[in-house]
Amino acid sequence: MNVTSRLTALAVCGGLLAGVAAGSGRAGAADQPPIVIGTTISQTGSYAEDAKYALQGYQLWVNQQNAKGGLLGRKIELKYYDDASDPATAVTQYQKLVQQDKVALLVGPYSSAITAAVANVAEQNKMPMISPEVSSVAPFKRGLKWVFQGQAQSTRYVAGAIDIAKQNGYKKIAVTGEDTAFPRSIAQAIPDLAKEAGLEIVFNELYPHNASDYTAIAQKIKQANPDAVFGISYFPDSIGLLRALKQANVTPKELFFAVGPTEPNFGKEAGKDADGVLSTTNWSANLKTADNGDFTKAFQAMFKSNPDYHSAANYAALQVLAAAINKNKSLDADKIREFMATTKVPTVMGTYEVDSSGIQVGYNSLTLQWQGGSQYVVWPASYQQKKPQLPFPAWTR
Amino acid sequence: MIAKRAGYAVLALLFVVLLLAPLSGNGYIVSLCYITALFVALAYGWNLISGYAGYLSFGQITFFGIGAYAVAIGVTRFHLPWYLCAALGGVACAALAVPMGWLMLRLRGPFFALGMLGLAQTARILTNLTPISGGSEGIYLPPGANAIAAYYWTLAIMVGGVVLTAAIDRNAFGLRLRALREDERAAGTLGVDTTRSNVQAFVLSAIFPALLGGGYAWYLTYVEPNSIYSTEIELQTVAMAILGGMGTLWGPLVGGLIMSQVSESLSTRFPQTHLMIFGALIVVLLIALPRGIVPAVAAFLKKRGIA
Repeated sequence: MNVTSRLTALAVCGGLLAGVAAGSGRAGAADQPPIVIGTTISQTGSYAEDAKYALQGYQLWVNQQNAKGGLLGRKIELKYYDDASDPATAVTQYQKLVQQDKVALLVGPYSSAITAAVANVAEQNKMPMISPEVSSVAPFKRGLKWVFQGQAQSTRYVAGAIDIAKQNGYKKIAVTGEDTAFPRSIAQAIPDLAKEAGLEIVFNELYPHNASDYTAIAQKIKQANPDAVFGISYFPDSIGLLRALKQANVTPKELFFAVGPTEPNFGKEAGKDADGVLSTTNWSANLKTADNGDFTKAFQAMFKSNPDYHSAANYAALQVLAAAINKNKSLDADKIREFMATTKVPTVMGTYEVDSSGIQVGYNSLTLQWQGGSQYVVWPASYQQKKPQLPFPAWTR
Repeated sequence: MIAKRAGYAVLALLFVVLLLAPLSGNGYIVSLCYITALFVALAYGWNLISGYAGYLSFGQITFFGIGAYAVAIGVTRFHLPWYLCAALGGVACAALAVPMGWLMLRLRGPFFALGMLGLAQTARILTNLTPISGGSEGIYLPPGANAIAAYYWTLAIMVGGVVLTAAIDRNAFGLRLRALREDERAAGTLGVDTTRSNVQAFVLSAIFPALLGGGYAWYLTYVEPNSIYSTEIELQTVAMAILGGMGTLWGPLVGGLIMSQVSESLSTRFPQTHLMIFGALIVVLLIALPRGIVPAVAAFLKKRGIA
């Protein structure tokens, strides 16, 4: 190939590219380009299972909002990358969203670890960001200006279980749970909360991630002879603990597992033993919060499954963002930040409200109880569907 | 000669581009350059013990973790500047690597590889159990313009890796290491102090991840045992060095540059399947070029009489 033919080829390529660009420009000329909202989601790696529900919350809201005509007369587009559950990858991708993709707005990723890392990208680029999947308050205690917590604080996850113990006169509490960031942040809050309520911690020991045998923990709990057992456990370890406690015939008057029994599958897996177990959720389909009924129905229609509290929190984050944009009639970052920092917004999760550090003070945790094979909200009284049944029944059912 | 001169010209250009990248004011470019420099530098550190000395290690992440925690703890608990903490982390790891190397290098082949893997797991669990590390909750560092500082730190260590390797590639120490790698007993009978040389290589290759881990903590602003003592970081480093060419001067650079760019462009173009494609690519490359890219290119150039 000589120089001229190379140049010709180059010119042809350039012409084609220009044509494509012009074509897409014409297509979009009738209405304005979409508002692009950027995020990353852990589609692979250790967070993938829960993160799927979080992404669906975002997707549902974008879908619904576009059906209603979008925001400021423009369609909305959700742009997301797979961060592979890795904080460093997420940092690069958030930078890419801001610098290369020029997204107008950011929303948070999945997990406290990844939020902690990408918060700095939002700060450096002065982009307001609600992070609905961070329950630890520690990331906010280092002076963030642009990032807001969109999930109930982890310390609130046990408030109901402690209040129920206090009301029923259960004094001695045993605490266990998985030794990873999220369960630990909850477990660490218990001693102070218990002291305030006049309860005594008689056992406090965590087990490692991916533990498979809970016999030893169950035996130790039995020796401590508590009135109430608090397990800060995910789904698999909740089942494991329940079985080990039954086998060791530990008979507490109150049995609480932080998040595992929130999953509808817990009833299937544990059978009759599930009855009487208390758990926590930050959202329920029965809540009378803003648009909650519509949200649940639309979610079921779009994904053929039930939403969980991750879906609800991510959906709520976009409800707040939309409220900020509609109020200001613009995408101005400073105005949106101001709105998010100071305004109470009704959402499916409850009333969004943050303190001066960006920590969520509006959303609450609810306590559920398994009764006759179904979950009911038993605490706080204002949301109660059924009264809690206590004490926890004997294992021979 | 022409190939060599062209090579140096490319190298100089690359260095200037990397040096000036942050001036673009584009955070994405800084992040990309940072990740690339990080892996190239890690690969240079790994190449010393595993490439030149021939002890395949899957535990260099131990030193990376110690370096990262040195910065996280030093900055948040003792309010020291981060680079000082990172440097101290490097010194601490060098000191730690002397007895550790003396002990671990008694193991050979797969036993050394497994032993180092075990060491990394032990370090992760110990970190988790030590109260000052914040346990599984981790440590949050102050936010700010950390990325550019962490990048220049990492770039400097990367250049240090190239310079040090270039020296070792030519000097008597490098010759001793290669003799030991090919036949430890024969080298010993010829008067090479085997333990001393191997421990020296082990110490040098521990300093790199230690210093880089310090920069990583500052870059991420958050450390937590699982994402710092990360098997993915370890394996990616090993894969880059092997693909580029173990025990060669330019292998880590070529492997690191190519792999990090390919990985990045795959993950943005094929968000759902990028890991699968990347894995398949490594398999194909390893079958086609078992000794790595640099030795294959060198052999090709020699055959054509260019170099």
